Amino acid sequence: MDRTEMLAAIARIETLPSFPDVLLRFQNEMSNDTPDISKLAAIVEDDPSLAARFLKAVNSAYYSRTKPISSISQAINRLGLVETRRLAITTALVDRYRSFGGMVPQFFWTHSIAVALTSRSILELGTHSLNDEQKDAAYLACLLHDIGVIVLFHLFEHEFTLEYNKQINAGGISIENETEQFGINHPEAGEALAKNWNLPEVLYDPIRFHHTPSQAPDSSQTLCRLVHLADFVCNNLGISRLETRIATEFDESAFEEFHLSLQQVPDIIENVKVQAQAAESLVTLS
Amino acid sequence: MKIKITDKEFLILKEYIETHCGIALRNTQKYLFESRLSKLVAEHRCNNFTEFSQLIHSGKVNGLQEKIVNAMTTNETLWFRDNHPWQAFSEHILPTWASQITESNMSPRIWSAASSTGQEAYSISMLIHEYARLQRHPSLLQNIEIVGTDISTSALYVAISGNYDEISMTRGFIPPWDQLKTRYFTHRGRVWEINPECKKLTRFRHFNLQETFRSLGKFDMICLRNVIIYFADDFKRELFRKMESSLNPGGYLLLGASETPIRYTDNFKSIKLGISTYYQLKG
Repeated sequence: MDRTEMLAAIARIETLPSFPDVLLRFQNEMSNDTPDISKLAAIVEDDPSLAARFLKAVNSAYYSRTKPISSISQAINRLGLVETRRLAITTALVDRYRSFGGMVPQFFWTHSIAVALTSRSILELGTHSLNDEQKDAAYLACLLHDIGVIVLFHLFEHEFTLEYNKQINAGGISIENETEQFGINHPEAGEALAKNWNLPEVLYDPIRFHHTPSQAPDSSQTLCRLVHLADFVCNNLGISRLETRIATEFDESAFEEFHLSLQQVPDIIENVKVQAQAAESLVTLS
Repeated sequence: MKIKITDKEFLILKEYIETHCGIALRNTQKYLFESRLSKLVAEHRCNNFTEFSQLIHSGKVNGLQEKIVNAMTTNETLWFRDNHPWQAFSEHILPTWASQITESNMSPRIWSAASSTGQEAYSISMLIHEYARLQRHPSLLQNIEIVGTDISTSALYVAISGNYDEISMTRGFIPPWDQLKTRYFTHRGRVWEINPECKKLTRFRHFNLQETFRSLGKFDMICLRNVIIYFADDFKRELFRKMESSLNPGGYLLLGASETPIRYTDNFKSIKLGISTYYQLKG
């Protein structure tokens, strides 16, 4: 299959679990002027496994402040709508994609969630002009930046697993290697899957260009650079999918984009250490 | 992904890089452009080297010159590179400094120029800690500063983080240095992190060797290893002149094994410390 056929195959893929509908349902309800908290709670409660996981997450050390939370409505009141939606999607994704190919899902999701949480730290420490909606998109884009890896594991199963394991010590498969071996790389596959899932369009470019943010269209460069930098920052601390090598290079326009300085590196790292623990605890909730 | 460069594109870019970045290039090094600059060409959304050349000459992109220098000069680095100079540093230079600190309150400053991801600066820091520990000379740790500089923000990020993977940790940690790995690093999951006490002696900052060195202050030792080989003669001369002005009297200069100040300056004398050659500022 060449690249075009491959993209078409991903666009038709039906054998992967679908994207949790939590995102769309939350979005619909939240677009109302006065979102109904009981309706939002019902979206989570509809799926008992998700609800149980969600409550455990809310009561984990990262979110829990004082009194334990015993209901979804109570959680929404405590966390706010945006955070509730993020947490619901995160827990739903981890729940739905527990195993695929030779990937260790625990590492995959810990990395993805840590990147998402790190993007918030970068925005807090740096300066930017993203509005709330874009910040929310950034969180989701970070969470989903590597979903193309799931697609490659799914499409090429044994072949991709073998190649992946073989190259782990060399730093994991480079995107150039993926293209050469499989005709498509994980950022492209991820973008195709995001389209297949009908995810918001704003997520397509950050998934597609998270390794090469400067090649993204101008309109989406800020988000692409944010995902790229958050990904690097997590990898630098060893919070990676599975690779044993740490990246030593990032596209420096990403650092410039948020007006970060080298003096802030220790703060970034300290924040990420906290985020990584949170990510790990969200993934290991059983 | 490599982008092909034509002879004409090569000549135009070669001239620019030699003039503005001070990097010497031979006509046979076309392949270097393709292997090291293709990524930069793509990053700036240029389809070929002609477009990239036009972008450089337009001066529209801030910091592009630095990115070219960074891409053309390799970031290759390892712990205790070449081994012998570091034995000489521990056995000859540190004891001298230790007595000067006691006698005259000297505060030695070391510059790891082109420090890349920090291995050289932290190697020096570990040696200082070892000396202070074995010779019971804790005041050494209060008086020495190591400054690491580079033009790559990515490399400096890694240096400041002090995080290295397993493969980086196998590069250079040979006996007798291998024992320092467990003493001065914390191994956590897939990462080895240099301990805070070693970090404490170091300071990393962004710096381009083409700038004036005045902002960095004076040093007692400069390590500029395997860097000047990349540069054209005029820029080498300029670098030696600037290093002379940045060294305190009697200060040391450590170069790469194949590098020498001969032909560029008469102001350094070559001294043998163990089996290593250091250059010392005359006068």
